[in-house]
Amino acid sequence: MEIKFESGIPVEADRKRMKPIELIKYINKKAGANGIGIVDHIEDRVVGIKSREVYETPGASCIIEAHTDLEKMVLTKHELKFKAMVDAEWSWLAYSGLWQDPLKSDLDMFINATQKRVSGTVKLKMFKGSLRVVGRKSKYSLYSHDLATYGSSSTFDQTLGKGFVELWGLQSTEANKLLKKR
Amino acid sequence: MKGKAVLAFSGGLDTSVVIKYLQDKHGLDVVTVTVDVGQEDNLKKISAKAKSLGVLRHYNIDARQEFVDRFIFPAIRANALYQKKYCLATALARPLIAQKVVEVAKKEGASALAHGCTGKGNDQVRFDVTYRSGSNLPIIAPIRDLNLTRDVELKYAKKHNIPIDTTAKKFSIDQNLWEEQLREEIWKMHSLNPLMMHSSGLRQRICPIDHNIWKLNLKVEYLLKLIENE
Repeated sequence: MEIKFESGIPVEADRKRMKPIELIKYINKKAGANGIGIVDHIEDRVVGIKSREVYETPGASCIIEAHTDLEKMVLTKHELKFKAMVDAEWSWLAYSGLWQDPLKSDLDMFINATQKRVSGTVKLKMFKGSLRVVGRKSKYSLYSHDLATYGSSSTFDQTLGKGFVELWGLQSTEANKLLKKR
Repeated sequence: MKGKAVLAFSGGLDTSVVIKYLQDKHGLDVVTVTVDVGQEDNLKKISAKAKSLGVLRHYNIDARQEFVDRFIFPAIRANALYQKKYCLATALARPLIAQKVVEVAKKEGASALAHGCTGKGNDQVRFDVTYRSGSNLPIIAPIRDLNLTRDVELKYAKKHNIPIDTTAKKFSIDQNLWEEQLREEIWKMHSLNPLMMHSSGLRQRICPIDHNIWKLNLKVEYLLKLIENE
């Protein structure tokens, strides 16, 4: 299955443009038929009780998996690290009945700002309950084959690595030297 | 009657009991609201059930588009998973349902807001906080206030001739466009493969092949044991 996103919102499935409700229903049906999205976990309720919850969320599982994956290609590592914290806090607020808290709309503003580049298509493979992302495409992709390749077409000057690592690990190395002296 | 209470009504056990309770114990007229968030229930049936329980008025409100735009889309953008697993669907629908109840209460000039949540769950928080954010009317939550349990509710329903769906005797279900949630009393911590649970009479979306593989697994395990014992 292919899901296309525009600014962080799903707009197409399997190259068919659909209205949001139909789109979610379509993905629910297709992924559900493949046994995707059965969640069985221990959950902490707001009042403190731990409960075993079982959900069937085929559409949500596919869409969130694809969206998270697309973000990893188009956002910087700094954005991703910070957004993961924001996402967890957002989820906690929504779960805990604090939908109306100003913090949630504050977080929404940050999240929305990151979504301008989250456009592209993610290809998913489903098979008897398993779900895998097997391809992604975006005009905002930060992935560069020329930089990542280990072949001779590489445009990355690896001799720069030596100095970078020296400085990157400077404090850790110094701290360990000091500990050994004691 | 001493005024009107507006109740978020799903047609299920809890909220059906609440209608009778608001009428009998509080002496209130009841206005019920069912919000369509994609639960694929038969809204006509729910409406008919509310009327058969003697409500003053019933509202069916189609909020699916709003649910998607204002709740599901932001959740997708936030990769929303509580404790890394749960996609929050019930949590997303409750504030919207509660907002619709408040809107109806204003239109109806109601004197109270009501819901059928227990005092043990998350939904009471979601309803109360949203009700409070939009209205100063008193909140009546009989299931919580009276510390009711499901078996007591079933007895109460029987006594007051409230018709109950047979699955309600076994399961508590919540469904919307973003999820289906099941709760069954007999689940134990280590018990049952989810596939087996889902085969127990609810909506099944799972490919039949999975059931066959599961059965095949059992057979293989059984045969391996036989070989071991030889």
